Amino acid sequence: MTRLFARVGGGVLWISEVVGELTLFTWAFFTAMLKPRIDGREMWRNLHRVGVRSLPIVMVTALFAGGIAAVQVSTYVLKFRAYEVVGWGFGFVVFREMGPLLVGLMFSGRVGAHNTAELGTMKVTEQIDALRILAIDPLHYLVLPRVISMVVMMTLLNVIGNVCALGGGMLTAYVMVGVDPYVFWNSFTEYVLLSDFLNGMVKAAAFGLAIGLYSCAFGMTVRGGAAGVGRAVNASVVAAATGIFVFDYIITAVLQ
Amino acid sequence: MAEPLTVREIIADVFQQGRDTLRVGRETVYYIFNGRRDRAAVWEQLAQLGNRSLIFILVTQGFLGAIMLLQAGFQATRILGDASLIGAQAIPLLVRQLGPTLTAMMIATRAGTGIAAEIGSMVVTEQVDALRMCNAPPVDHLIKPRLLASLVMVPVLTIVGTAAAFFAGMAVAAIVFQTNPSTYANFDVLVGLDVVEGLLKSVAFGIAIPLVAGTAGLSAYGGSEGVGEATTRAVVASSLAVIVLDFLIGSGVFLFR
Amino acid sequence: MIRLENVTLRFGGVTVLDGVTFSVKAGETLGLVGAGGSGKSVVMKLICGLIEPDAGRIFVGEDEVTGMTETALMAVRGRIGMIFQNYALFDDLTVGDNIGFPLGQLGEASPAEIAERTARRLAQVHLPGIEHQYPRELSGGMKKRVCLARATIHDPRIMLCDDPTAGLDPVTTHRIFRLLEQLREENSATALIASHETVFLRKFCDTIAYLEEGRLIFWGTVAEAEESPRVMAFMTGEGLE
Repeated sequence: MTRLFARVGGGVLWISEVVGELTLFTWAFFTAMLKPRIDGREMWRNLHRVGVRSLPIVMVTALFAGGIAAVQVSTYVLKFRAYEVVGWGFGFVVFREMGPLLVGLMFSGRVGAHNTAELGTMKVTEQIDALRILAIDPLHYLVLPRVISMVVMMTLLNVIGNVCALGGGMLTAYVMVGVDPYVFWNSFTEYVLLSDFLNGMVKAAAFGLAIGLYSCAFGMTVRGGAAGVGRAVNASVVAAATGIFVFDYIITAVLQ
Repeated sequence: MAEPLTVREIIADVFQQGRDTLRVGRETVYYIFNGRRDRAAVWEQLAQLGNRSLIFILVTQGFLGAIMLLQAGFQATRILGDASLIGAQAIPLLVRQLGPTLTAMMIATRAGTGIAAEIGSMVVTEQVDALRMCNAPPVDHLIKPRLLASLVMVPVLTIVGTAAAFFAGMAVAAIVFQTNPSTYANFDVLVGLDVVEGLLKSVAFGIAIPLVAGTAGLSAYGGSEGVGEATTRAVVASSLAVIVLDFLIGSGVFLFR
Repeated sequence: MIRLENVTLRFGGVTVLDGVTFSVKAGETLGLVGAGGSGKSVVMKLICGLIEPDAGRIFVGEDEVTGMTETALMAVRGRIGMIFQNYALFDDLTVGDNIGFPLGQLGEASPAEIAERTARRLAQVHLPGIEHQYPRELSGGMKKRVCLARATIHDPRIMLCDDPTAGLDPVTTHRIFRLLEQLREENSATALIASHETVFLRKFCDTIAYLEEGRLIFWGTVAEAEESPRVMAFMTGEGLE
């Protein structure tokens, strides 16, 4: 019985430690953002890498996500024979929820995990210490460009993702249910509001921030060689996914 | 190894991963029937999978349910003026789509990276070579128990996750939209086919995730950098596999209706 | 006992081994020397079929290892004991389980017998009674000795040692080589040792093979090696002027 308590207690302590570390890191980040000293080249390099690295996977994911959304919306539509509403239902679901959520999760996997792995390896091979000895603050040099590029790229990718999802959805709706693409498009443009689109964009930006912060935090605090890097990547994607859902909820509730 | 960045390289890389995964899959099936019996290893994997992911699933799926109900509720209130039907409409969607898919994506994230990291670090520290030297085929020893455990655990976790989302949704419906829980818990619209679809998906995901993540782990190369890269590949590939399988099965069932 | 014929291996555009030919007679000990990256570890892995060469053939005893299936390789590997550069001990198994693992896989011995042989080997490597500890609790030297115990538990006739004393202090290094000597006597084993400990190699080995960037520059007895200026330049660390 005491062992059970010990395990639960240990778990709680560990979570508090992680949450504490993340909070401190977030605080340090925002403090640094007040007077940022960003290396232009690093910034550009990160924007380029993050964008290029995630574009293909986001496009493919969005295509399929669009297909999935179209199929699901169509089930409702078939029941009520409201073919004209498919476009609207689809746009609403994808722009507000499925788009940012799935793009966010994929982005977290593709870019977040890689980022943690990269920073983790740098930590293990003492490159971060080497930077400090050269009087370069790793927070400003490494972390700021990465987080900023992730926020920027997530929003851009969300737009691209929305477009791809639209394509995938239109195609699927046509092939599966026989919804005429024109009807789809009309209903889409007629009923989907700008607020739906912006809602999704805000979420995407928030997700980008979460992914950026957490992936950097876990990467910079790696301990223990190759296995430690693997563990850090694991923790980082879990934290990012949790963060995504929590932010999604908060934004949904607030932005009504 | 440099990251593949040209379109041709990316496509070639994806095909290679796919081929490798299928090969590992075939070998795993072979070893299920012809390999050593190691119940202890399967139990251990079951425990690890369940233990590690449970709270994560409960939390994320709970929020998912809440989000879903918020969105549905706001829209229903805006259009219909009343939110009493949201339970009935939301439940089938949860059971056949959002529950299985998002639970699986969470498992792909949590367990997929775990599997790739464990197997990957064994590869780079030559433990996998040592296994082969002792005539313990890595697929038999490492992947098979994980596949069998996942086959059982993923559907179980899906049910747990879906339930969590359901109850979270119930809370939101009651608190935000003043909907009576019994009004919410309207299972009239839920069809047997929805449940079948959900289960079918979760089983497919349960097979795909350990195979994809395990293959990624086995192909790790080069020290801690290699482990990190393998872990990343695992989470991306298994998440993508979940989405593609979701689309295929969902469309299949839809056409069947 | 072991024979390499014209073995070539390329990896990612780099030629790791280039037309390497040498052999080790039964009961003989060959020392493999060369700078880091010259291909020594790769030779070991080729011999047990962990990797395939791009060209050339490899023989273990009467069997040709090149092109063998994993199942066929099992029989060959049962005769080989390998010490890995980084110990390669299984993290999640105890020391006892680690050492007994090959016997369990070969399926020839009962659990009681395995435990007894494990205890005997552990005593031999001067680590009695640590069966229940985990590899992460041990020092480098202890891990190397456990690795030795695991590699020889099934009384192999062939021993492949990849840098058995890397990173160890002089006293432990001496101990490891004495143990290798002992185990070699026990089974009249054929041994292949890759190492930078050139002083020990000169005392311990019958023949020397010297690799430079994947090419075999010298292969002969220790006495002949001591006559060759190029080999000695490497072995003594003085380098060619």
